[in-house]
Amino acid sequence: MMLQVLLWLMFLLLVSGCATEQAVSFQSDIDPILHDKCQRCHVPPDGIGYVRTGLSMESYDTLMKGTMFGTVIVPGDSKRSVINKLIEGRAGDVMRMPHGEAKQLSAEEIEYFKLWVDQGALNN
Amino acid sequence: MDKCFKKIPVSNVRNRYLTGFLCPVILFGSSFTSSTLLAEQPPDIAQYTLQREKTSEFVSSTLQSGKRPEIEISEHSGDYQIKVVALIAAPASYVRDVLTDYTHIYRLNPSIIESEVLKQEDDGSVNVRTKVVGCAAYFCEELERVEKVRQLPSGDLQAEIIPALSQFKSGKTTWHIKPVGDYCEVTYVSDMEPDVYIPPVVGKFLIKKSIREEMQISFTNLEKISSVLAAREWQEKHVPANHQTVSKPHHMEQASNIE
Repeated sequence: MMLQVLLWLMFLLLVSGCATEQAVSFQSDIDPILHDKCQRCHVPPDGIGYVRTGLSMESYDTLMKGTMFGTVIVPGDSKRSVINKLIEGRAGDVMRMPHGEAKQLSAEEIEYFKLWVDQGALNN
Repeated sequence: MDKCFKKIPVSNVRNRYLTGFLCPVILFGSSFTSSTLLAEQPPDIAQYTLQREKTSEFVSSTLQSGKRPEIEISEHSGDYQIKVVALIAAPASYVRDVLTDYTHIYRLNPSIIESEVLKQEDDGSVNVRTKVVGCAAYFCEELERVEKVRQLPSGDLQAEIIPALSQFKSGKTTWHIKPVGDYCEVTYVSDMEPDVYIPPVVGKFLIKKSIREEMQISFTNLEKISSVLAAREWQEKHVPANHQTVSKPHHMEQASNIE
């Protein structure tokens, strides 16, 4: 009986370990996306997205600072983060980021952003 | 089942906001953390304020400096009545611009997790869909609604919920914006009845508390965004182009080109 309980506990531990979500790194996962898909517009001094909103995606610090209207990331909460709303198209298609002819984020990249924010939007 | 409250993940607890029908101030369904409320003004706003103080009677900032709006909330048989009166440190026209900038309505409150302009009617009214997430204690609920919003001849804004497309039995909201010098007084009056099951454990006290907190967030953000837009326009008129720190007012730009 005791052995059975132990085996079940080991099984549960194994399953919970497998279910642990992937840790997303800002440096290796998010920054390359920003560089590839966002910095075309969101860089000072002349990037159109920077000029219009004040949002620079040049670095972790500037990203966390947000726009002149407020922050764009709520660490730990992708649902309420502006950046997630916009790249996921939750603020309507007209507001979906990136705008215009820029390369769109793939479903995988959008998921990375979601996980990164939900994991606390760390500078890791 | 989907009308039951869901327990939110632990990772989200520290950034939880109370909203949804819990946040009727979110008129049309908008990102700011609570720390934003107490954050320092960006340099451009500070500069604007400084310049204005030199040129006119300009009393100190209101909501952004921590002053709370007057908020009254009552409930009768599931019907919530809310009245908010606040002095906003921005001209009335900018406040009205922000409230009618439906594509950016998500900026007013982080709890507006989805927003979309559905259609513009010939009479000038606009149907706007929003989904808001509201939490009281550890219970959260996502509520969707479609509102028909129109500007009255008086300049007031009126929004009426379309029950067939919403998780509300009914709802009507009016925004009255009265100029007060360089500022304006905004009076928000709302009466709405959510069509969701609220577990007794949540309690009316918690719901009212959450409404109050969300009102504070939304009105502070309304003031912040309005004052930034006013600052941009002021700067454009008074500061040489090579010295400007902000750009054209966003309402003069294409919606698709701005965040």
